[in-house]
Amino acid sequence: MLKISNLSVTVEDKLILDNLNLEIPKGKKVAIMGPNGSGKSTLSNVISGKFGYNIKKGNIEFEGKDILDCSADDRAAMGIYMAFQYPIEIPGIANSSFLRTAINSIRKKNNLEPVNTRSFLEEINNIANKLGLDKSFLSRDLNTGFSGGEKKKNEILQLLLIKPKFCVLDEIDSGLDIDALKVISKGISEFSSKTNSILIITHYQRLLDYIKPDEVHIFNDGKIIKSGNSDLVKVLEEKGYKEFC
Amino acid sequence: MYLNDYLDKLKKNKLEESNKPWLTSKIISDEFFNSIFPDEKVEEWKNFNIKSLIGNKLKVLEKNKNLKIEKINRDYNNILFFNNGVFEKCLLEKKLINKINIYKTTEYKKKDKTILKKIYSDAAKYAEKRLSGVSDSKTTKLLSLNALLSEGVVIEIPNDTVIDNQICIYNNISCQNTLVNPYILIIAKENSKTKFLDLTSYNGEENWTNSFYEIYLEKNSNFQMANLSTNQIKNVNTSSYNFHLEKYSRLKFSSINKGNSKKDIRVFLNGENSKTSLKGMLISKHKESNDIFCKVTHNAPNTISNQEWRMLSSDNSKTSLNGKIKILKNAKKSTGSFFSKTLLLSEKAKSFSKPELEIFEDEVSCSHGASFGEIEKEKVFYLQSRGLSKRDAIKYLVLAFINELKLNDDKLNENILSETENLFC
Ligand SMILES: Nc1ncnc2c1ncn2[C@@H]1O[C@H](COP(=O)(O)OP(=O)(O)OP(=O)(O)O)[C@@H](O)[C@H]1O
Ligand SMILES: [Mg+2]
Repeated sequence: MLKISNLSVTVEDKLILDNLNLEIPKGKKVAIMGPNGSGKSTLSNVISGKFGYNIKKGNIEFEGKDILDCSADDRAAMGIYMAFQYPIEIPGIANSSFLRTAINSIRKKNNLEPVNTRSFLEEINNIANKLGLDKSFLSRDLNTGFSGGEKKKNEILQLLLIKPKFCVLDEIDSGLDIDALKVISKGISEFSSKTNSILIITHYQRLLDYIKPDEVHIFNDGKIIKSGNSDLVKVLEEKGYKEFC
Repeated sequence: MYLNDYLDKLKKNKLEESNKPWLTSKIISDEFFNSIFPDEKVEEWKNFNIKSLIGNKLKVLEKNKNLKIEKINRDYNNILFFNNGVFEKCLLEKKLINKINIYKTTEYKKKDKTILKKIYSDAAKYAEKRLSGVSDSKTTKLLSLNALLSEGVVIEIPNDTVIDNQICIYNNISCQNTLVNPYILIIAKENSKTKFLDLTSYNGEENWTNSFYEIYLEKNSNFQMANLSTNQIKNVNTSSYNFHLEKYSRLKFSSINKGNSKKDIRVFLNGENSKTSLKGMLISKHKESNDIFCKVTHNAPNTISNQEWRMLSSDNSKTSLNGKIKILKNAKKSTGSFFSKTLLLSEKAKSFSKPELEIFEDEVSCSHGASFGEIEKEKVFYLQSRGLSKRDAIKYLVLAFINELKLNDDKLNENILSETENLFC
């Protein structure tokens, strides 16, 4: 589904992704683990089309199409979604209004009618309920004053609503308490299917206990230094990154 | 007739009898005619150059064209209709017809002198001498001009009158190249409660509307006014508002200010426990200059004022705001606040905001702040990553910025939406 080939990216002349090769096949869950500052969020941002990165070489293909020249919103419309490591607060925009605008923007770009208001409200109420988010979170301003965990839940709420083909979850598990981690893992499992793909970025084994990845890659200095199956997570947990770097 | 010729004629003939009871020939001295426009040396006017904005060949309104009333926007159920600054017709629902009295100023003077006497005999306290025709300092010359050229109207809301429906003061501007001078004195009597929408609808071009509103709120009255203009783009507006509040009265004033426009708003909290909330949005685009001077004077104990402003400047335009809170001796336990936020939508857009406090009493509390910012790229990206185009994302963020103001008036909110759209045309 997503194929990254020979990708090198700099920020302010600093090389952050270094000739990276990575493929995430349809229906698969791929995990990336790597030390702080190794370039994981940079990779997520570059996939979703954030400003400020210089692509030195290489390309990213999504369903066979090179997406590096597409805007972030076009990528969203194609079916790419990123759960932010640090979701942005936007005072003045009600969460539910934002959710509807988002879903309708994507639908419009795909030549679909706007959602029916009533079934939309029903759906977001349902999802919020599943995630243990009180209804009031839908009328509150987008992420504004949400706790760390609530923000992450709101990212998963959007994932379940938008139903992209591919998602990057950038440290969706950081800052979550034990119960929240369970709820969020359940949400991700619910999303996961044979027709979509997930890239999970995490520092911890616990999330991967709930969502068993098909492949695990260890990331350092902007490239993959070791690949394997989920057993690799245990080795890493025991020995740390030193073993590999 | 052109304004210049009219003033020349006035100067030669001297003023015999004026339509304003307080406008005397003493004011219309030679000095008055020498420099009729305030210049940047006057503090309140330093951000707004009226001379550069109005054409040289400005006419004075001579005779009002007869207007077909059907043409008026029927969006409003209750209308006090003014055509080019002249009161024309009262279009009220049956149940309201006897609840509001409208007089010519001369008529009103004969009927009841108390309010006029209060305002004009103690002008320093009541209005800092900002009364049409009372003083001829540079700052008040436009008010004197207003008085010279307009008869004006008194709207009286009798004691204990409560009206829930909004009443629209509909100012239709249909002339061209003309100086229009609406003058409205509103008197909200004791225990009354009313809501007004002050709407100026421009259907002509190159006009200068020089409005003056004098609003007197008696004891325990509750008064709301929302202010807005439509299609102002090729016209210039200057307006002055004086609000006088007696004890336990309430004033809520909200406004959308756009185009080349200057407002001078003064609120005098003269009675104890009087309270005001002032909210406003300043929007400028192209090369427009939009300026507000707003001053609240706390003259009595336990008075409260809150000012909340938002400014939005795009292109090469400028918004400016000078907000003052003055708390006089003996206005114990009063609180005043002033907050403004600006969003600059282009690199060349400018904005100034200057809160000022003058406090002569110890037992008071005041707060103020002004912030300036641009659209944050991180926010735009977040919205884009959820499918909104860059343009839509920016528009959405502008709306978010405005929403914080919580204007509580459907007409104003509607208008803001369309103005925001216009910024992106
Ligand atoms: N805009 C920027 N300007 C300068 N340096 C940057 C910028 N963005 C990223 N970097 C640098 O790139 C490197 C990789 O950052 P990135 O956020 O991708 O790391 P990460 O692997 O996600 O780390 P963490 O596990 O702490 O989230 C870091 O050294 C970071 O300082
Ligand atoms: Mg990161």
